Amino acid sequence: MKRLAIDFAPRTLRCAVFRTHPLAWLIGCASIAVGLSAGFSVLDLSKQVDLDLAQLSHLQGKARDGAAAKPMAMAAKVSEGQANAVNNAIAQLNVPWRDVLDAVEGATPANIGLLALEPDARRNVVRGMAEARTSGDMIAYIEALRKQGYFDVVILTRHEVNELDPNKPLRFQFEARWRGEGR
Amino acid sequence: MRVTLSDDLARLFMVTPPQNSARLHDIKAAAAMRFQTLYGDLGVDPQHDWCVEADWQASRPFLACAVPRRLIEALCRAAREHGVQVQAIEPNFVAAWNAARGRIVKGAWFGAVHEDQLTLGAIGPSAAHLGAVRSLAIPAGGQEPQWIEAQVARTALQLDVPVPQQLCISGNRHQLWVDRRKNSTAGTTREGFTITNLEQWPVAAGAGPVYAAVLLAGKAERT
Repeated sequence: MKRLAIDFAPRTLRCAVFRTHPLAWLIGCASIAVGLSAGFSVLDLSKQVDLDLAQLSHLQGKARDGAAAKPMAMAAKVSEGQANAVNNAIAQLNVPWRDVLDAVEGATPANIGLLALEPDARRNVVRGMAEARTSGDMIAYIEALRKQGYFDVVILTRHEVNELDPNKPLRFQFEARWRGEGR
Repeated sequence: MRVTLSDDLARLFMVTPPQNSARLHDIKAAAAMRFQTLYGDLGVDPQHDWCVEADWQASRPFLACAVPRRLIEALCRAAREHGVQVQAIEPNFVAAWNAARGRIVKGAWFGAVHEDQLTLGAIGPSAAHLGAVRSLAIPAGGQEPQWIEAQVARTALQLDVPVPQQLCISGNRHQLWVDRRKNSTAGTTREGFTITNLEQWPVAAGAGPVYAAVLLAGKAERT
């Protein structure tokens, strides 16, 4: 059966203390203890957060000073045309000119007059202009170039008789492609 | 100090809370109105001359009790003068119920006896709380079991509830209605109706309540 809560005693603090159930006291004390513990934890955490914030602010200040002392290198802005020009120049500089010259000279006999050599770095090709007394010398020369291990393709692109020269030499042009690394 | 008031000093009555009650104030107003309806024609001002306390409930009828304000004030004043802290002032029926509530058998009614005063508490067959209350004066021949059986049956008829099979009695006349020849604390008055004496109330001399009737008469005495 349920308790009848009828009491005419005046509501005083002392009376309330007497009436409070021991279990309620226990729960109340436990709650206060938990609350105090939580409060102290919050206090500690708050202090820790303050410390962390101060440290963060200090580090940010240092980082800002460092950034001011060492200005960031401006990224070079290069247009596409400039980039192509630079790349071409680098490719020209990277032409294995000595090897090409050695190979061509090694295959050039005395009866062939080598007039010009012009490298094309992008295609790994060297264009040459030479003169021979006869077409046989010219063909032999082209064959000799092909036999050089340095070139894999040698093409005779043009040939004509130089009428201006009293010896009527056969002037011809050729293209020789050397074995490049990136092909 | 715990003070127990004789039931003839208090007015015990049931209050049904209004269905639309939203606050304690509404229930208190309902109790005051009920008290006014029951005792308002006695030439007293219920609001000023009586203190009303109750086992306030919003969802079911609850027991309320009114005690003369003059009595409460006199008790508190006397306690103050003697340096005593009043912990509780309860009517005898409430004190007896709270002391014996764990031993009240399910389906039984409860009765608190003090001297020639019997306060009957009717409990529903399946309820765990008080359903109705009746105060009765025990007449000269009231010690016979037939009297209490008749009173219980009459009260059940008045309340329109089933007659209980058992009555649990608590009070300072614990041998009432019990078969004295068997020296037992339980007796059967008719087939199926059992009377059980739960305890003698107050339990022990010195630890029991102070009866306000004695105190008001100027003879403060602990029983």
